[in-house]
Amino acid sequence: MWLKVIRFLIDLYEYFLLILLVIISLSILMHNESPQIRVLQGEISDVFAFVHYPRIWINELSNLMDENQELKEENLRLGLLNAQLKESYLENQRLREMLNFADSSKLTIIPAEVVNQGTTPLFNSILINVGSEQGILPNMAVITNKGIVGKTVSVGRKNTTVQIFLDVNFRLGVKFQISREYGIMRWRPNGLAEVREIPKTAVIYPGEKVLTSGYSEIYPANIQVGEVVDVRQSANNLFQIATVRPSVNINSIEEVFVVLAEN
Amino acid sequence: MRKALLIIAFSLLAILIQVLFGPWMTIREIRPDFLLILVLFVGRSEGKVGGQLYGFIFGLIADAIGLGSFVGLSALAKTVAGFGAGLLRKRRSRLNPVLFHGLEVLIIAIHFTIIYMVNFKGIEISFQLLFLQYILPSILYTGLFYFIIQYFIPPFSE
Repeated sequence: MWLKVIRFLIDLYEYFLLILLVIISLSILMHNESPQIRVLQGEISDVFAFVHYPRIWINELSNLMDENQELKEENLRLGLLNAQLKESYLENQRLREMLNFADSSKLTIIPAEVVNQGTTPLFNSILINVGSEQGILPNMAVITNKGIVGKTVSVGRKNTTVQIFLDVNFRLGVKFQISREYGIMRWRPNGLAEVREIPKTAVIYPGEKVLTSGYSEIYPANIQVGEVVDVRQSANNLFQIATVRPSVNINSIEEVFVVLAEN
Repeated sequence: MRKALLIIAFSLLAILIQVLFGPWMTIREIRPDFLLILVLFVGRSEGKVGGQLYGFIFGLIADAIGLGSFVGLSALAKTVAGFGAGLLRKRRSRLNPVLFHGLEVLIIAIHFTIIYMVNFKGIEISFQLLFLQYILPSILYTGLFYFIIQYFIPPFSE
């Protein structure tokens, strides 16, 4: 009897192995948010960071000439702009003093290069070349000069995985610049984003800028997120839903900034 | 031993190709999965046990090197794909070619269905839309490369 059972088990060991591996995978999947898994992911991404170097070299070489030309033009433009801004800054300071305003906050940021944009068909994280050695911690905002990119999730010594706003689980507290309405932005499958639960009475304008609300411990206030494409009524007709086009094109980002602190 | 080294070398090559060319080959968020192609090759060469073990380890490494917010998802999908490919070992000459390739496409379909169903869990999107917008294009894109590569480089000796 026992011999038959053992023989039966041996005959089907391939299937038992499959079940075991599926159970292990599911178990890891269900403990994705645990710090141990995140630390392990960070450590392994450090070990395999070398696989991303060829792409960085190729990108750097191919972009160097164009970048140099663009920087020259940008430098000239910024030089002219700087003179105007200095004037505006001084004027702003004077007006603030008159109104007794506190100093506006400044961000302490650290630059980083994008070393990988994911090898799986889904495109919901990027790897950047700064880590705990540079003071990066989980849940720090990642931005570019155009706006929000995402937040750090798993931090290795020299590399960090960033959950980007295209991730289906990404949520961001936002406000509309003109109408001053607040809401939660989430990604939609067509590459755009959506802000739901906007009161029916609010007037949201297409083309209106969408900024971070500042109510989050991760994202500083007033960082650009995108702009409104259209506004429609919800299915139950109680709320409005605004479709937002993100200001950052993830496919083309090469450098980002991690917000270490808000002074 | 020689075969193991060959598989390790191909694994590194597949990761490099995915990292180097994946972003440039992305069309509307869909890109070919060269790691899956290698898992299918190994499964067909090594059988059910080798295929699923390789799929699990390779998937776990792919998850851990920074690629996707769900660690363990590629491991799960590629374990199943490796096992499925293992079922096809030494059956190419015995099965009708249409049926054989159909089964290969089915394995790719199961792989992407697992990936997208888990990724889109909790999102308001119908299965039809998910299938038409993500699963089907991924099957076609990866399947195309799988059959092209298979034509030029037959899977490791079955």
